Amino acid sequence: MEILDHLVLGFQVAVTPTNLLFCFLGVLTGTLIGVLPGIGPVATISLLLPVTFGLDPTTSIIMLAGVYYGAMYGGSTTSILVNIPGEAASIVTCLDGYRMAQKGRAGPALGISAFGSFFGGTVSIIGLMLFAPLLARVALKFGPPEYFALMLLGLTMVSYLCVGPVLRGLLMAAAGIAVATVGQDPISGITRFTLGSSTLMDGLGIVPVSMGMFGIGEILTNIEEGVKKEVLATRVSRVWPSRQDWRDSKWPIVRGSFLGFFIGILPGAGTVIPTFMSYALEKRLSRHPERFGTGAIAGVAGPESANNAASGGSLVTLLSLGLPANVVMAVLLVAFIIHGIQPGPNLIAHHPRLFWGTVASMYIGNGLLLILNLPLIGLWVKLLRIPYRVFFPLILLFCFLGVYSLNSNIYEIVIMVGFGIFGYLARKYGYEGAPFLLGLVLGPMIEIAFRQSLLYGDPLIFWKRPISGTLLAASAVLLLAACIPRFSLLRREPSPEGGKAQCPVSEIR
Amino acid sequence: MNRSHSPSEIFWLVAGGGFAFWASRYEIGSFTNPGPGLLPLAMGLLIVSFSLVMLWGRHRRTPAGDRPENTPGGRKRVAYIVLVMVAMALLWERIGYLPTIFILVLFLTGRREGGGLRTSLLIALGAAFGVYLVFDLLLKQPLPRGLLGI
Repeated sequence: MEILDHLVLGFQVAVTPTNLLFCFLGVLTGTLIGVLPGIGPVATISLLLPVTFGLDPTTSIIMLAGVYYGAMYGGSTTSILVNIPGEAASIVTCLDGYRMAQKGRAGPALGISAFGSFFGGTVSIIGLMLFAPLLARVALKFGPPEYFALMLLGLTMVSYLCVGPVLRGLLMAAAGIAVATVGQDPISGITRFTLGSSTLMDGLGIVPVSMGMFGIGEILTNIEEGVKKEVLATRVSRVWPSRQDWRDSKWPIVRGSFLGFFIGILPGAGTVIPTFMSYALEKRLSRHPERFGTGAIAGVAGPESANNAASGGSLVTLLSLGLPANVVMAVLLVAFIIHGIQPGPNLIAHHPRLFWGTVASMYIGNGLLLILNLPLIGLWVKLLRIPYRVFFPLILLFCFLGVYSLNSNIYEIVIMVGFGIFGYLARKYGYEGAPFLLGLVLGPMIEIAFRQSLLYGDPLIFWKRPISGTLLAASAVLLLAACIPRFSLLRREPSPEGGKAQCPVSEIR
Repeated sequence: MNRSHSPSEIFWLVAGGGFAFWASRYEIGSFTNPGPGLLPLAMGLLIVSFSLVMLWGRHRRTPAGDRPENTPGGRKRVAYIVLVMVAMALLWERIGYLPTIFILVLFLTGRREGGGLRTSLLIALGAAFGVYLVFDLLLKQPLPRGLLGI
């Protein structure tokens, strides 16, 4: 079979000493940042971009992908032991994982989380292997109108899934696209909104903006709120789940994995929504739904499988269509471009070693994560006890170093600090950063697709072509659905007390 | 009717309007031959529209989550961090990365943030040494030496 041949090629690439080492470093770093609240994969991948300049592109992508799916593993540790999600995708794990830890069952919670993540990761890698080439073949039929409609759907989805009013998400997406027009026009070459600055002629870089909004912005928010974390004073002993735990978890793991993978493919869905959906599904299907929220292991198993599966699913969209499905993929796209590689339908054909090498390394990385996470739980617990006042200056420091390392340009640090303040204020006033960053990354592509489409001579071309028409209709349906409360179950609304997202699954009967 | 203060919507209204005005100074073109100003103008107008709708909606009710939470001393802490970052950006190329890192970490882990002087000094020294080792020696990143040449 052709796929097996490709996989053999992939493993030949992945098991070289360099790639193995960087795969290990990537998953270890990913787990670490997943464990530690306050820094996420977006800021970390941005920070590591300059480090990859001297590396082979395949090695770079292997490492950076490892950071991403490694963070999904690590996020559950903090959720279970501290009741603070290490990653946004581990929010739901707090509901039952922490309750299990309070009852002295932190070990089984961590164990089933690790195994569920492993299974979810495996399903997503197989899915990536099967679906990415298929989607790439379909994408060859895409023209500018289809790409424009798909990117618009992605931005609409991200805005729809934001906390709070959809209008705010759409506004941030529009702002991101607007800011993306700073610099050189991709078609005519004239400079726009640069104020005569040579720094701005290259546009506002994704790395300073993402590290500002998601690194510095998060720190300022945490500093203001005075986040205190108390690691549950419980011994994490036996991590191997009992037979009953396995019985209770096996189908949630399977369902969560498939759900996570297919939802993760959708542009804009990210890894958070699959976890909410998985939790809601398990609660609906359970014979004892009243146990959810009090320490039901299925409430940990399903979502943790879903978030890892979604991370692989989102890679399908990036690698086969060249479109980032979420903010992390947006930064990963930048990594590809920096190394002179354009993800898209031709990636697999033109760079088979990179694609299959990455797929194979994900098998290896997934196994490494399972081996790393369980024995190293004690180390992660110690790290969690580091006071935030020691931790956040180091994150700030890495942000400065990371941005400066890109182009040795102090003005990019100024841009980063500026967007850090913007990110902080945005959170304060209830605006999410994800639509903005996705708009910023997709902006140039949207503009090119939009203008090339209009050059066909018919402004209605987007509706007249079946694929782009369908995608635009899907965007319209999402926007309409946002106005109808019955269909807003997937959305997270701020609580009346002010600003904190409520998990909608508590409303599922 | 609730006429609560709406700084964020007003900000977006002004920003969107200003951006649209600026964009109109570039060639807009037409729907069959779009120019470089078309998309920025469209985005500016969209931002204005969204903020007007939100302002109108606010007059009808007070949406949850719009009032930012203020914790005691929180804003002062944030302002302090921002000042330290600005100072760091100003000093970074002037005095070099190592002294700047030392000063940054010292101030951020210091007494104001609940730490003792000795601990802060140790952390600051450790951070500076760690950065030198990893970024300068191992990764050979081009970091500024500044006037002090270190």
